[in-house]
Amino acid sequence: MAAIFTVDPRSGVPLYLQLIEQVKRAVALGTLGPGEQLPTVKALALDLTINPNTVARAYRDLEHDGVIDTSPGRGSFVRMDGSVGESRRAVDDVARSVLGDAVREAKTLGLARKRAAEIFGEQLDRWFPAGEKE
Amino acid sequence: MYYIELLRLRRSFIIYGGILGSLFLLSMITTHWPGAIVNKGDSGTIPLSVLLSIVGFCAIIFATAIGTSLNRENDGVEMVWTKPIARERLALMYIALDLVAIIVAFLVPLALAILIFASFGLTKVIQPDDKWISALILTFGIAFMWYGLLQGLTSWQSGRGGIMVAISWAAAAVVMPVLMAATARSPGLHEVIMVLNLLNPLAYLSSSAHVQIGVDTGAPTLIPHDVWARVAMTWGFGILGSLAAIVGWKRLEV
Amino acid sequence: MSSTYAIAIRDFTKRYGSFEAVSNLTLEVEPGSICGLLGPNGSGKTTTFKCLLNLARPTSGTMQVEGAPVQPATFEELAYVPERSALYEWLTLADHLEFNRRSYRKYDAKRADELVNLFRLERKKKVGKLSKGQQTAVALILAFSIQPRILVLDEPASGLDPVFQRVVLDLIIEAAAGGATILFSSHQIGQVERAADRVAILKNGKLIVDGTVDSLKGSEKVVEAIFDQAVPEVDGLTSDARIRRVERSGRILRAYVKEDSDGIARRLSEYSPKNVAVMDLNLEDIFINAVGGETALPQGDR
Repeated sequence: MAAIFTVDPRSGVPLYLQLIEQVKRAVALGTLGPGEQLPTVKALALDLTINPNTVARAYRDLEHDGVIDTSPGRGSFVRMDGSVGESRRAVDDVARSVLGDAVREAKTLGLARKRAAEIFGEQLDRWFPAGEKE
Repeated sequence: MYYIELLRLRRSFIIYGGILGSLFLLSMITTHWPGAIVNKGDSGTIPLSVLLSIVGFCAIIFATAIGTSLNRENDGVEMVWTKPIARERLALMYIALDLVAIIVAFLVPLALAILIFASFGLTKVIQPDDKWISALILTFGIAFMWYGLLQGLTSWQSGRGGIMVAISWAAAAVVMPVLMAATARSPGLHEVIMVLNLLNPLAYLSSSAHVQIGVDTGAPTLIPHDVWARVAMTWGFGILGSLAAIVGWKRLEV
Repeated sequence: MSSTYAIAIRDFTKRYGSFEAVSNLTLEVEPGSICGLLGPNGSGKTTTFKCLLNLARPTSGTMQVEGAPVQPATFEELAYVPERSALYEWLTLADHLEFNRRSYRKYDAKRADELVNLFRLERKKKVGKLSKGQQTAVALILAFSIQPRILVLDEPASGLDPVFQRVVLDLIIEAAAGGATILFSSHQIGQVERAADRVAILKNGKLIVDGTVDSLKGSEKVVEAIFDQAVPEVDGLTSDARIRRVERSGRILRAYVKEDSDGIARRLSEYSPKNVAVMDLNLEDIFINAVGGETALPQGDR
């Protein structure tokens, strides 16, 4: 389980939000399958060297968002149903935010819209070579 | 909860025992050496009170050596003050342990002394006299008084208490007797010195036995002649000093 | 929200003669949480700990642990690691462990052994001969081995190399996961950032920042405005209560704000900058902005 989640404590984004995003990303990508068990709060906190209450809060919010189920004494598990959709939506949100930042940065650099679109197209070709789906 | 004091006392006893043991061995070897001349015969008796007073002096020395036990906690006192025990209770335990240790510190040289006599078959030379009980209690009183004064003066200080011990010895054995003699002809000053001398544990020693210990200059003194009065005063000072030590230690701030 | 705080410090002031070491400090720590106390040396952190634990008396204010002032019995459940070593230099680690065993009901010898091996310490060596980091490790072992509900740690990573600093952090996290409350001070802001729920920053005895790490990061931001020419004079920026610090350099103006970054951004927009951006700060930045000021290196001829 160790390699699946990483968080950056020095980022301005609260750790529990980072963790929620990480879990949703893993579920959206299928790295965490339906019904799969998440690490315990204590184990994950120790693994990431972060506050256990942060992990607990992330798990609570994930349960509220319908991504996982927690049963006392047994642990937290990825939901069998519907969670993938929610997770995909969450990943979309992250992508929107990251790409939005990139476009704003381009604007700050003084690029015209057309030039920005050209460079963006170049990057798309680079990272999505012809023939690769998704 | 007094484990540290146990270890401290153990360390003190190792040193004390080492010194006494060496003296004992030395005495045994030199007196039992073939050809050594030991006057066994006719010199009469040694009163028990005298023996007890001399042996008691070892206990007095030991008492001053351990009299800064509370002070020794003060460098890093957080260790004992964050334990689940009230400060005054711990201080009382330390003092009680120390007193038991002083008694042991008395019994050890007593046993060794008797052994030396026994090795010559001379134990009957030691004769109980009518003073031996008061001498015993007074000697312990002096030890306790000195211990109590040291505790009372050092328990609330964070510095090295060892210096106080050295100062107290210098004051008791040298400074006070010198001042008593030096002011013998100046009545006003002498009064002050006499009052101060009431706090001198060694001043209570003279004429507790037939043996005169300390400088007896014949100068007037406030210390009562009656041995039971001395007992009361020395034990009283010991108790007062210990109480002051406990209160002072309890109120200390780090 | 629980009705009793694990640690409640209210309006605490400590004066030494005319010098006020701590002024009107209020700090409340929820049970089961980790609270990091930050501040420059001499800002009053150690003084606060000492008064909390009855090692010194507050001049005014109240200090409570689990709803009551600290008493001897409290120390069955509360462990303290002081900043300066309070160990007995003439005794060995084994002696200190034995002392613990005899003093506490909940002493866990097995746990102590695990930790001794973890820190790679020798039991029979006199503590006075250990390095500063090893002495810190001894103090930590003594504290964690009694399974306390509350831990008060003053610079628990002092003298330890980065590997063992991580070990200490793990111990704190593990204890919190088990329900313990931890109040600790540290100069390692990265540690506090990872592990603490709440952070309180002291400067010259006063509380200048207090909040959860998340909410602080949410409100403490830097608003950066880039102008076409030299930065214009912006009225009242330094007196704005929402702003901690202002930096001007060439065509860039940076305002380090403690709250309402959007409002500040709007204000700066009125001066027609080329670009205004609100950026996040990590805890170290937040700390330096809150506390710093007089410590910038001299610039020579400008």
